[in-house]
Amino acid sequence: MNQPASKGGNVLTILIITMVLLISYAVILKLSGMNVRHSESNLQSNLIRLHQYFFSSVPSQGVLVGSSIGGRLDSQYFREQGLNIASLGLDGSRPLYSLNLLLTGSKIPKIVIIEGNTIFWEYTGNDAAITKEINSPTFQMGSWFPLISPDARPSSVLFSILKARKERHGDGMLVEYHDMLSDQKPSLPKNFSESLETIRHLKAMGVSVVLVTVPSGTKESDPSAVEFLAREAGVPLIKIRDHLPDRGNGLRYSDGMHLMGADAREVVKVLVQRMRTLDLIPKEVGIGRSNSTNSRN
Amino acid sequence: MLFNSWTFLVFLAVTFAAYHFLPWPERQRVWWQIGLLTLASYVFYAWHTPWLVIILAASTWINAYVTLRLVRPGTPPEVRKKWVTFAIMANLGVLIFFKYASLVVGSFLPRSWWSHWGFDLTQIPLPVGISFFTFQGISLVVDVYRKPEVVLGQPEVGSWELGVGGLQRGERRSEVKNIQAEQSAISSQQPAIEECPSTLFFKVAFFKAFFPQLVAGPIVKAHEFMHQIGAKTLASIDWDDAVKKLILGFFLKMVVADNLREATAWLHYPEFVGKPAMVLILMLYAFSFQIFADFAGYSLIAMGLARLFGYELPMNFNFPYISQSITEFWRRWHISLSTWLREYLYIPLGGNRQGALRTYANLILVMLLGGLWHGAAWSFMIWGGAHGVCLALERLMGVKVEGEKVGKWGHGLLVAVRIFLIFNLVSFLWLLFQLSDIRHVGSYFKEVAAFRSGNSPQIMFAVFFFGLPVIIYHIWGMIRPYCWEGFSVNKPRHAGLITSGVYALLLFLIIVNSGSSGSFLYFQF
Repeated sequence: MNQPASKGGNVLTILIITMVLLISYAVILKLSGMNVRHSESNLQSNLIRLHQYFFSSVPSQGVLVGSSIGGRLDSQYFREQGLNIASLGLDGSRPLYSLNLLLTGSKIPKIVIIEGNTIFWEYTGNDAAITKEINSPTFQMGSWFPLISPDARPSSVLFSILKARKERHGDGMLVEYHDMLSDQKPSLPKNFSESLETIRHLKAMGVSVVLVTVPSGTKESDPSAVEFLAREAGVPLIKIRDHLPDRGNGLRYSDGMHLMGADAREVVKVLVQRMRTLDLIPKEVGIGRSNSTNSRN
Repeated sequence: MLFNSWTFLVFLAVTFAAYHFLPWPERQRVWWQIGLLTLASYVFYAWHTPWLVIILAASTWINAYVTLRLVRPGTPPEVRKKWVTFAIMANLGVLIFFKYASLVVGSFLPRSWWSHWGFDLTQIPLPVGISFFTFQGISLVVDVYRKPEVVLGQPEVGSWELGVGGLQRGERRSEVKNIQAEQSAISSQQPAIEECPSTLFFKVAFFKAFFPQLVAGPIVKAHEFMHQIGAKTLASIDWDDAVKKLILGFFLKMVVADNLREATAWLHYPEFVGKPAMVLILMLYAFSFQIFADFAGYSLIAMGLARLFGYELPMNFNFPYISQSITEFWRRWHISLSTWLREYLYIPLGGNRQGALRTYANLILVMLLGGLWHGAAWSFMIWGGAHGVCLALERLMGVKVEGEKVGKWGHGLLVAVRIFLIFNLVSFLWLLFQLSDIRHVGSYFKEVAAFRSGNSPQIMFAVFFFGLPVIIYHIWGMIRPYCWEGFSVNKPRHAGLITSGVYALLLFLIIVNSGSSGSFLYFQF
């Protein structure tokens, strides 16, 4: 039984208005020059960071890998210190996952800063979700059509605006350093060997590796295991608290765990100073001298 | 294959082009077209797990064979009854084996009884869509048993459109009696129909496999679909309707449901432990919005796709969250299931014709089984049973289903309160879908009762941003009767443009703000 034929006039109108909306939105995004770094979900926030790293017009020669704790040390704060270092601190993920992503890609940085706080974290469900998304055609297509890239999502744009506003006006929470010392007995974590092998592999590829413990409002994992890892791998370990006044007791955390923006900026400043003192920064990482990519091949 | 995947887009383009543009011989066009669609549907179904087509094919063969037997001229009524009984048992047998064997074995039989058989009975894989296509099979044989002419393509007449909750005391009784009388009169007659076995088989295979509704409904009944089978041309496509359904469906799925899934991922044990009370409640609302957007989205996409091939599938959702009672909710939620349960279970059980107590028992039993249909877990049975008890209580208290329109302001306020209460009750019961372990439901309420303060900006933002479209959609469902009335008297000059603008905005958001693609929630049922 055939339906009576119908006009498709509305379809054409819908398509035309959609095109107008897309073009207008692209123009607004371009004119506003917004740097969207956050989203309403961990996954989307991670995709924003990964997309900006993989498809940036100015490739980063340095990378910070870690969890959401390290993710607070934004690329922008490194740029303010004259360094082109991408922050791949992924929410709900762990440094080893980001490291494996780097190793399976063709783009190998000159320096990798590894967040030591979560280096021994084991596999999380978030890792699989990230892998699935970055292998999807949509993620890849975002490099050709910026409107469908993760940082162009209206919800992410709005969330970033609200978050920035809240950070400007919010007080954050103070967490005493003594409350965060782990009561765990020192022991060798399960994935110690995997961490060690990965770092050694990076070093063998000519990558400078630095382990860093970032101030956070949560209990820290056994520090002796991170120190042992640094010694075994032959890489420097920077405990940022040691270089902060009052061991960072004045730092504020947005949710009791993650640094507030202003304090994260201060922490990056201290970290970069320390790295400069120890002469750990390859010259390619400086802004304006980082246009060549280093490939494994 | 998922509707929201690139693979499906290619599959659809190829199938659509071949269906409408290949130079099929005019006289056999219908057979080429349904042959192509059936083949495409098998490819669609087998895409990830090819062996599944064996179950679909076997189920089709059984139902087609019994259908042939039922329409064969000269078949005595008692033989027809035996055949239809056999077909129902066969359909249920397949469903029970694949879906419930693990529950029954795991719950009641000691492992030592069956562990030496060589395979783990608690690990039987669940073929996707089996709940849907077995119910369709039952619908086919029962419809053919009752009305053989439906398989010959004669349009269905009469109303078979009320949900389980739609049976109101007194007011519908005569209607139910009429349907019952009509059904028994027809089924006792000798069928005077002769159908070529091969064409009938083709029709049945197509009806069972038609890919838009194959894996998650709507559950299409034979009397709603078989008469539509025919040669289709591009001119028979209602483009406006098809495109609008597709846009709304993809918007609900890809923008609302997929993004809310990120927030409701925390609504699992032990992830929700330690969360503030406000966030816990918002997550529950978010899940309510998500399950609606996911399933209603799927149904709309299925309807839009069917339109592209010249077919019409029944409506599955009608603004369910503006319901003022559970009875009304079941007239608006998963309508194809509630009407199926009514036609093939509730009425045959006696419906509301055998006294008040029997009616309550029937309602609870039907909803218990309806709950169990969703999955092999006790939580689903409790969910269905709770809905059944609510339906029975509403009937006991004489709750009437209100009309769509609301009168005075005071009455409007009462309606709003009722809607809010029913939404909360329904949302609370959805917890059993998300937390299949009853102890975890208890933990959830313990966490809420702890009244922890604080917030979670990401979750709260996601719930508000992506829940808002669901709220607006339902508000539109409430005010729609007034708007249409106003439009018909004094239609705004740019009403068409405004509507197109709204759909364009939805399409824009599909392009720029989709969440990470995930499978549909109802695939697991």
